Amino acid sequence: MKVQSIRLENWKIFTDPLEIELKEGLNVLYGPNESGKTTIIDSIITTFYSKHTSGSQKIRSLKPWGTSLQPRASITFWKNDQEYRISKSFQERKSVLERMNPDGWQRIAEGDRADQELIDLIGGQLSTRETKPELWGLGQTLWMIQGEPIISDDLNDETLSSLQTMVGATIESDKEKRVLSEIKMRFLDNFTVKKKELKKGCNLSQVQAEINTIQGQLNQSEENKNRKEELIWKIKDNEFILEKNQKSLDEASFEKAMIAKEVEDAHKHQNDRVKLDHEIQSIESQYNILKGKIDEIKQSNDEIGNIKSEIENIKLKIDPLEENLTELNHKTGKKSADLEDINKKINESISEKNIAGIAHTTIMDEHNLETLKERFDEINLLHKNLQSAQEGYNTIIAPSSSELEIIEKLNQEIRDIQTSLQAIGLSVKATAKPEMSGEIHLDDEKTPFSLKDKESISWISSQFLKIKIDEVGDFEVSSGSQDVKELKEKLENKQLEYQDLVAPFGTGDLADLKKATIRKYSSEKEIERIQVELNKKSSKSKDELQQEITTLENKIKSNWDKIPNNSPYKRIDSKDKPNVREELSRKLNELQTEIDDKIQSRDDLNKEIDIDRIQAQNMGKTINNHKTDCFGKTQSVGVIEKRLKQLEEDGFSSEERENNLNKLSYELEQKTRAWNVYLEEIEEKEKQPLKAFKGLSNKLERLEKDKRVHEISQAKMESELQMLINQSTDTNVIEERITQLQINEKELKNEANAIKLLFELTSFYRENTIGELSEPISRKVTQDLEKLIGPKYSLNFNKGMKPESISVHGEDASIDLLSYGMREQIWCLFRLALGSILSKDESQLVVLDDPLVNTDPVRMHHALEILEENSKNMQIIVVTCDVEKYSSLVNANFISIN
Amino acid sequence: MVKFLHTADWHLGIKFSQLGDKADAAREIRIQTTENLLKTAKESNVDFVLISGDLFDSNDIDRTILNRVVQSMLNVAPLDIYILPGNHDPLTMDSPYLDPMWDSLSNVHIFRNPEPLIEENSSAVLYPCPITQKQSTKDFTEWIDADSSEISIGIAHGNLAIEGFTDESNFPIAPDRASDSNLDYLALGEWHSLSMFKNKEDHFKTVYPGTPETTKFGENNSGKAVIVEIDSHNAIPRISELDVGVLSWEKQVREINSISDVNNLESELKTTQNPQSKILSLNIKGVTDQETITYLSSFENLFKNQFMHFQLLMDELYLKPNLLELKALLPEGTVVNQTFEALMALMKTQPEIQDYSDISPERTREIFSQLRDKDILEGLSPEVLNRAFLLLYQMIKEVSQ
Repeated sequence: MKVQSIRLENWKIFTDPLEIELKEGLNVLYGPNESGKTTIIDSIITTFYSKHTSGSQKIRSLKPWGTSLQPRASITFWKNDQEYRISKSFQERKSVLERMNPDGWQRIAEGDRADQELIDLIGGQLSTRETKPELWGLGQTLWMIQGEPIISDDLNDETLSSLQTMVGATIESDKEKRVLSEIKMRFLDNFTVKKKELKKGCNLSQVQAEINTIQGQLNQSEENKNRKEELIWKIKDNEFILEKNQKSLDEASFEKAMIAKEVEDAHKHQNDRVKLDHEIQSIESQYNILKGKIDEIKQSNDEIGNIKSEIENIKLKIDPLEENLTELNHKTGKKSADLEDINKKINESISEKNIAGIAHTTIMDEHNLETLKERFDEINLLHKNLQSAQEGYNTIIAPSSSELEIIEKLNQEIRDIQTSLQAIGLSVKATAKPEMSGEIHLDDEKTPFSLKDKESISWISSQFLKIKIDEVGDFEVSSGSQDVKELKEKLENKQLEYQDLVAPFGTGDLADLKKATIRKYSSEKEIERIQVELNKKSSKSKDELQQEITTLENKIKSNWDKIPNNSPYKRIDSKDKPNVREELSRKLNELQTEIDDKIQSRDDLNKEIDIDRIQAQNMGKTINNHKTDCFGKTQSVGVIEKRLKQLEEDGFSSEERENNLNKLSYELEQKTRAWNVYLEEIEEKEKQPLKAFKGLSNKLERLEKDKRVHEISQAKMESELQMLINQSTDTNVIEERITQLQINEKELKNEANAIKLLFELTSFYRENTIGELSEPISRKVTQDLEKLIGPKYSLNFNKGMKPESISVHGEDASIDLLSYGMREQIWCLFRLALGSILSKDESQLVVLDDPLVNTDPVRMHHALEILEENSKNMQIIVVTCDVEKYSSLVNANFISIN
Repeated sequence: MVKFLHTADWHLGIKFSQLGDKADAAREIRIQTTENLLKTAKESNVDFVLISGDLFDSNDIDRTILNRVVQSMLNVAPLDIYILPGNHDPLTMDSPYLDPMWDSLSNVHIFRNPEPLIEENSSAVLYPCPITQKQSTKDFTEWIDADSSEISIGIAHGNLAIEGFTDESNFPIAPDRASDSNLDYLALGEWHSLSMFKNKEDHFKTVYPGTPETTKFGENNSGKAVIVEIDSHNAIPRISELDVGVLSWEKQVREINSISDVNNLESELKTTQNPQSKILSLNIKGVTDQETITYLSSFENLFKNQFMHFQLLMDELYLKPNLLELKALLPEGTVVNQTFEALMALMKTQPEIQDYSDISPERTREIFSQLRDKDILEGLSPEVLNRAFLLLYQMIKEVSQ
């Protein structure tokens, strides 16, 4: 088949009708990216292999984006030396197949029939969904769509059959094909494609699954059955144990009954023994009570005797003690009267001494007052002097020494400046001969002058001098020095400053100023001296002294008032105060000595009285103690006598009591002997039978417990068994079902295995047949490969007739290990080789959409040669965006898409 | 004088694995047969019925069966029926005989203990030996010691331990039990074929009545029960057989070597009498070609519904491919051809069928060397090979039409 022309309308980006004419041989379809080259190639596939009624996504996306235009395609092609035209309009659901007759186009089919007849003509299969390379007939191998140089699926039957025909290999008949496809279909019903494992949903798997399910149920019910059996056994065992247990129980009960009498005896023995024990204890206590009583009576009588003799002895000691005490008290009374007398005298002396003391103090205060007054007067005078000195000081106006220093310094500076000026100034002396007048201009000052003959005058100018002599003319002299002017200015400033400084002092004369300063200084010194003197006289101020004098006067007056009028010390108004003071001092000393003596006597007397009193107290205490002792002992005697009386109230005499005691002692001894016999018999008559009885009771209890445990487990097992019995079902039906299924399974297994065997055998032989085809293709590809890259590699094919590995110097390497560029080249060559072989009968269409992208210029050059060579007997469409690569192809039909 | 019906081994609820979807129907027929048997007993005016064990096939039987049995026994009341638990339905804790339903039947008595019992209608003394466990090597009849002057009947379930006759050691019964224990009749169960044994005095006193309905292929003399009459103690029992079974179990072996053999078999099967009561198992033997086998294979479907059950066993029917026919059919091309040859070569690997393969040793070797690397031999069997052969044949035939 070769394509003559393609016409597209409203087809993807081609909203305007596009028509391209293709030639035999090589066609290069070129244009920039997105210009629609691949769309054109796709349109061939879509038009040929999609049903015109298809609503697939691909078909729906044919119309230009955003429009509702109807996409239409019309392809003219040659097949079997006839020209055909297929026109499809997908949305309008139109399909027309026409053949060119001498009269023009003749419609040979429409609609579905057109689709189908087209397929019958060109090979391949129709698709309502997206059409895939394996459905494109020979196109599967001859048409390389963009970016997919490698053929990943197995070569389709059509390609293989065509190749078989072309290379003259054994041809599969239609019948054979049908048988083979039936085998394949039935194999795929049962097994997976790749791993050839059993398919999940196939009949055999379903049967096996059902068998497993039923087997599970059966196992469960078998388990229940086994459990049931086990339970029945266990229940039987348990019943046996229970029976044995009951037997042991009965035996133990019987034995227990048998030793009941012994136990009774043992209890009696025990009771008797205990009773005897109680009796012994009772007698023992009676004996002890009686013995205690007898002893107590004796002891009490002895005690009473002893206490009474003690009381007598104490009474003898009390009388002399009481006599001594009375005497001591009498002596103490006398001493107390003396003491009172002395105290009275002491008080009198103290009173006199106090008054004399007051008088003495007051006299002394009076003396102090006089002294104070004198000092006050002196201070007063000093204060007056100070005040007149300060007034004098204030009248003197003089600069302070520091001010004076500044003034002196300034004065000196003024004189220095004046001296400097004189030294550098212009000194003019004019002497008139005869007379001369004019005007002199000294610096800034104009002065007229007039001199008589021989008269002379001098001027000094510092800077500028202009003399105008009348009727003579003018002389002008000016100093070049600027200093004179500055000095003059400075002098003036200093003089002004000086005037300001001395202004307050009334004179500018420096000598006067110095004198005034000295005067002010001596006046200041005088004030300081008076203040020092004042500070020396008193630390107190004048007012404070005045206050002190007043206070002292008041005190003196008050003290005199304190002395009673009739006292010899009342107001001693003597001038001779020191004498009076002396007299009073002496008197005070006398009185003090007198008082001290008397106090000494009084203290001695007090001590004596205290000693006597303590002695009297001690005596009293001793007497009391003796008396208390006597009383207590008398009381004790009473208590003991009362108790004794109670003890003897039993009505027995001592003798009778002794008799009773002996009787009890005898009885006790007898009973104790009997009790010892009982003790010896305990092991035999009590412990052994009771132990045996207890052992049996325990055994019975244990057996009862055992029995209960077994009864409980029996009940449990029985209830479980009952449950299992209720649950148990007849498994006949499912067992029968499983048998049937197993037979079925065996059948299906045989069948599946048979199919598998057939499939494997047919596949094997088929592959062998296909293998024969690869020979010429291999030769052709290897030839071209040699042209392309030199005689380095040779290509090997797999059983599906596809390039599989490459031999390099005798070593094989998988084709997948080669670079992408190399692989692309090999697959292109493979397609061209197939095309070449298949074109032997009729020229074929080979499409290479953007091939050899990764090919270097040298290889590209060889590749173009190969393309050119191949294009001699087939139609090739190369699609590229890089037309420069192909520019060396002079015979190619270049079609630009823009 | 006593007259009773002796039966055993009803095996109600039995499993029929071979019968496929007819199993339920076969079980139903079994129940009907026993119902009819009880009716016959009533009509024969027997004093009582003895069932010597295995009334039920197992203790796990479906309740509906229990209900049916109870109902059928109620239907023949007041006829007294004595039931002995057997090894299939032992009186263990899961026994259906413990169901309270039985208590409502005054005419049914279940032997629960091995102790003598005076049969009220006839004053015969019954010595029952109920089975109370699933397995035992103990003789359950050992206890019987009939010193009565009344008619003494032992009822037991187990295997008569006749030396050289049976090697079954489960539930043995002393062969001379009837004589040794002074019994007038020993009513046994367990064996499915009617079997009677003479005592030392050369009288039949020990009897297995067989199952009333055959349970499987090869049970000869089954489908029976007996009616026994004994006039007095030490009198010779009069035993009469009853044919009660409905289903016949038939196993046939047929030689098929040609299509005409198949045609003959077909017409024979089509004219079989009473096929609805027949359970037929046909074991086909022989060697024949692919066409004959294909035709024969259609019989299974053809006769499935005509018979109560129809089973065709062709494991021993071998395929000898008819090469002439095949070659005529083979399509052009090489693959199918080679596949056929390969199958023939593979037949050589299977001893059972290697003789039926007409292929030269040289060619066989050649093919084997081609297939050497394939794991085709794995899982290969005569059945698989035959099937593959037939499948391929059928497919070719299909496309040739």
